[in-house]
Amino acid sequence: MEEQQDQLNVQQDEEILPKLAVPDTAPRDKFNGTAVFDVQNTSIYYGSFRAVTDVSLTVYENEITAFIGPSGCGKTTVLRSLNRMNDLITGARVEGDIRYRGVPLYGKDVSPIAVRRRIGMVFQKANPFPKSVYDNVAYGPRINGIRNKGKLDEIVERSLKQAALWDEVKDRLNKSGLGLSGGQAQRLCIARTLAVEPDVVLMDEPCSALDPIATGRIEDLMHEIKSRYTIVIVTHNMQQATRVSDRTAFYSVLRDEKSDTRTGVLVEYGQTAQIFGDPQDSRTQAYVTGRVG
Amino acid sequence: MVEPRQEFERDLEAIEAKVIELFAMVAEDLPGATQALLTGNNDVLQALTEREQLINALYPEIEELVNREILLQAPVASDLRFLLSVLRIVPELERSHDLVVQIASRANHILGEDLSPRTRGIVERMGALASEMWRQSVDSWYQRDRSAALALEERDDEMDELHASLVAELASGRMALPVTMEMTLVARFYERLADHAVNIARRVVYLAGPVKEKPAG
Repeated sequence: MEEQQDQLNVQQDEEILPKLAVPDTAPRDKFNGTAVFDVQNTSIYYGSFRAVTDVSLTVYENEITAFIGPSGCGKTTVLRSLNRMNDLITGARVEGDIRYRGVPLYGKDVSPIAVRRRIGMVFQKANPFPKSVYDNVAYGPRINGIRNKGKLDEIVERSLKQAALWDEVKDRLNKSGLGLSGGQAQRLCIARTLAVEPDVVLMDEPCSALDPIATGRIEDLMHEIKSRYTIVIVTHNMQQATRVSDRTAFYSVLRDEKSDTRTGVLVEYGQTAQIFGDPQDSRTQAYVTGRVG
Repeated sequence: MVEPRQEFERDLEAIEAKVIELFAMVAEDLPGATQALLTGNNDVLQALTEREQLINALYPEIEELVNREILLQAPVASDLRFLLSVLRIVPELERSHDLVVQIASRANHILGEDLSPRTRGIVERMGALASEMWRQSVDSWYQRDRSAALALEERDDEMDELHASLVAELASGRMALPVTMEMTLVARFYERLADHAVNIARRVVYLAGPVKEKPAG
């Protein structure tokens, strides 16, 4: 019954969200390519608490966009708003305009489930399901109604190869996903995300629990897959942002002394080489050079 | 609150101090070299040669310090611009001081009275102009003044004119051939010194970074 419901949603959503291959209403820019997300004057609240404000930025197709900033600056909140993960938190609400390929992401007719099918997410802590490696990857496609064993095999192999994990797990596809090392588990989660062929992959500090070698693998993998996907990554590691991203958004925290509240704010957004080479804002300069006390 | 990255900050300041030291040696020694050439008094040469030794030790030391910071501190933005600028200007400073020593060493071969009055006059003006340009160049570095490059480029045109005048005077054959040959080199040394001063001021444009917009809020 639940799966049938999902099927229905898929069909409905196809009418509302433009087809992936032909983004029809998304603005195109001669210099910057196709806009995947267009965020304008957006604030996000948890109840009466304004977590982040004044966010305006455009995420472009086949690019890696990094969000950096100190703790509490709202970067994860903005990331989560891009696939409506915040809908799951009671009291969370978004004010402003977030368009995904030209369609208002928070429009009345848009199903959050369909959004998350197109806009996948990888979390800080690898969270494989307590299932086999194979079933972890096949989970999404199965929910989407794919039953054919041959087809599923193909998807599992393709996804694991894209996630640069295939060679390490091809002989233990039926072993539990929980038995993998930290870096492998994270790549399994990436494979699981890629299995449903999303349009966008959101990554929330995907390497913060990994050693440098595992981190390097994930970064290589990001470079590999960006020709097919659009990636937005939140990272605390500024060198990681310089290594992988095309554009960087720096967020900071505004403190209101009177009410003793902190609100995140987007300070500066631009090409990564510009943000780290010639930051325009003194707060960006202080943060990227490590002069923030 | 503890200032962050104190250690790094101190290292950068130490590098800046050494660079200024190099600058000072070129700018201070240049007038003395011109003086030696025009008076034929080569007393100053000994002091200049000693400075040369100092510089030959100082500039690899600065390069080593910069390499270390780049390796260990992952500098970005203005820190990276500073360190790269230092790497680029240190060889110019070293070469410029070489030129200064070369000018002074001509006092060994040429006596003041070997020079035609017009030659003396032009060399005096070239020396004064080069000294002035170097003072400006040092200031521009010290103050991160990106406007100096333009001013120095204009003065460099003056220097090129003086150089052309001196070459024309030398070509007139009024002086002994060996003197003329040496003075042709000297003319070139001043012209190169001016070029180095301009190059450094151009580096300062990069060092100072793009003109900042006023940060909002």
